[in-house]
Amino acid sequence: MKRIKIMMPIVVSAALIASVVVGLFGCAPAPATTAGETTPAVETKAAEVTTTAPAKKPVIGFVMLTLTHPYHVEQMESGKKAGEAYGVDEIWLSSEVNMEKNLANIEALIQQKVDAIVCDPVDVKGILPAIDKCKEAGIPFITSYGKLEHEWAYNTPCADRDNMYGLTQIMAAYLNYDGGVCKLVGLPGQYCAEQRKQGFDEAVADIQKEHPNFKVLSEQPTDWDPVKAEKILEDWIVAYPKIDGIITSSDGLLYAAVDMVKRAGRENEINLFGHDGDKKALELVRDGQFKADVLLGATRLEWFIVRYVSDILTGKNPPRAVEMPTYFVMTDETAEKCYANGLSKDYSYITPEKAIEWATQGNLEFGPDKEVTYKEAEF
Amino acid sequence: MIEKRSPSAYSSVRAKYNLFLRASQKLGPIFLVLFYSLFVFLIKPRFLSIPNLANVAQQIVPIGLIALGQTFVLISGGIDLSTGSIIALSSVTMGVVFGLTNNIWLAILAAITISLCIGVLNSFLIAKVKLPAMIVTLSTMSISMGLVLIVMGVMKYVFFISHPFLYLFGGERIFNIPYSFILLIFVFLLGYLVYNHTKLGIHTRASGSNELSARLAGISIDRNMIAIYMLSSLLAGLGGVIITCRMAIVQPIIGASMTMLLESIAAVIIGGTSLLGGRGTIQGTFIGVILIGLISNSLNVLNINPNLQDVFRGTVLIFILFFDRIVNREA
Repeated sequence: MKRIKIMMPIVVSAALIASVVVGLFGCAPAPATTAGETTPAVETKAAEVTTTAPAKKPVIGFVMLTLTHPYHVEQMESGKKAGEAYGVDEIWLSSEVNMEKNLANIEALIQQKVDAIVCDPVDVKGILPAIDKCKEAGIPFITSYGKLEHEWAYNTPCADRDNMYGLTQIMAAYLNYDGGVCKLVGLPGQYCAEQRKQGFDEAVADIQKEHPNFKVLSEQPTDWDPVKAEKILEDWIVAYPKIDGIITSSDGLLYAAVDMVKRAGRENEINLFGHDGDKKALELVRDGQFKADVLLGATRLEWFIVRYVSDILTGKNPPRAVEMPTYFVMTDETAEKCYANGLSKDYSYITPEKAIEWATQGNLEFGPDKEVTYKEAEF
Repeated sequence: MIEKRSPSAYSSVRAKYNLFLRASQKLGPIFLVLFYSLFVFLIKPRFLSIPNLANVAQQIVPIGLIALGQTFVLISGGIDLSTGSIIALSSVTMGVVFGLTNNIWLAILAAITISLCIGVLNSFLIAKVKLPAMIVTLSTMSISMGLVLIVMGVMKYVFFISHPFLYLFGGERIFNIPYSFILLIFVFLLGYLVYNHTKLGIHTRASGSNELSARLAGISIDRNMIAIYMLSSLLAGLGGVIITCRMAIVQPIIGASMTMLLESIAAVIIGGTSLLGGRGTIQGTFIGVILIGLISNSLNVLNINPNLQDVFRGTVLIFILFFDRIVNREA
């Protein structure tokens, strides 16, 4: 017993040191794998001797806001598949919605001398010093779904404000410009959350000029947290005897509402409108539980970004700010109703079936064999 | 001319004041709940409506469960920072196993088992290897967060689950009282009995007050510590089961788990448990959990501006702790 007590700390310490050493060796870029997959065994033939080293694959470092939100998890999974198709290695890091970690991750990637850094910044101003360091190191810096002003940065903004503006118009038209709606906001201060909130607020202001009966009952921040969103939804269902629509900045925040409105017996009263174009959300649009969504798609976004970065690294000189194409998604019945109620035909749409196809197969639009024409973003 | 009070009148006022302070010391958290509820009720009467209170009762269950475990840990002089991420791990594990097997009991067993595994790791490293609790539980928090992604990766996408058991503890109510809240009360009653009437409770207080004296008195500190950290992780695992029942959708909730960890610790402190160990009550933690739940709920009910919510929440907590300090110092 005494021997065990003496040996135990030594054994545990040795195990800890071994895991650190393995981890350090594991930090070198390795072929991207997903859970459950194994990297293919490397075959060697003793008779063959190569005199030239194999060409080094470019390494892209991804610094994400989080790797826990389902949207970001899907981004990572798709990004790995896109990386395999484009012949690049990848490193994925999470900032856990923390600015300090955001900066530290970028510095770590610079130290590892990656070929490009893709970043979803926690704060568009706070990240600027890190971009200066990328410039010093000669490493291209690309925003993931963001827009910031720095001469060294490449930007891939999505038209968040315009998309949310349009989605709000669709919601208002669906409700015949009459009723009370609630909005789930993302993380206050974060670029895309602020853009989406701005789009919603502007649309409401414009709608209310002609339709004062269209009212906003509540707008609450969720910090992109599905559990917090669920609490807010529960409180709204109690606080407001009549809610005509709930619109969200992200699909993941609204899934709990599907079951909740059903249990409250209000599924015919409360209409749900999503944003992001998650596969699950698109299925809900197809089945009628969501009325409309915006196809951004984590899979599409990541294929688009990997394609863009690949074009930058191979010297194709794409524009410094490019917009990823997005689409409104609704069924034909919903669209008919909205147009009949006065929605402008400028708000075109695609069906959920088409959206699901595009959302799950990013290579259909942005694969290596596809011609991609970049739409230069306004700056 | 200054009016002078007679000594007897002064002592009568002073006596009443002392009585008030003694009552506040014992009943401080309850006073705070009542005072805060009244304050919000005056602005928004719907705050104290039965449906809203039922919502609060439902929403505090996961925080309450991890706060109960945290109470034992803090009183013993330790801390458990892994409970938030154990909740996320338990929730995802239950969802994924149910998604694969369609067996609710197997899913719950898997969730509890994986939580206890983290508890075993915590217990072993803290009690046997003698590593600091804060570092160990920070590390296992990180491990648990990573495991959430690995477990979730089995299914790739978010998915819904449905089963009568999920509905029972997810939202069903009896006389407007959620079944999950009844479960919480039952668990707290058990916790009260364990804390006040078993050796585990007595030894927990003793080791938190003075570990050396407790050791000299023949208390097995290591065994006590193992039991406490296992209890803490078990309760966190149960919290994860409840979350899955409520959400009925399986997705990583790690962001939420950090908030729940902080709120649970705040609830325990508000309830009178000392961060230094040795002092605390189960009933105090229960009241603290209710207060935290009411504060969170009031942000939505009052429709506080999103940009001001954190300021509001922090200000209320400072006021609460200030009141507690004044009462305890004066008494």
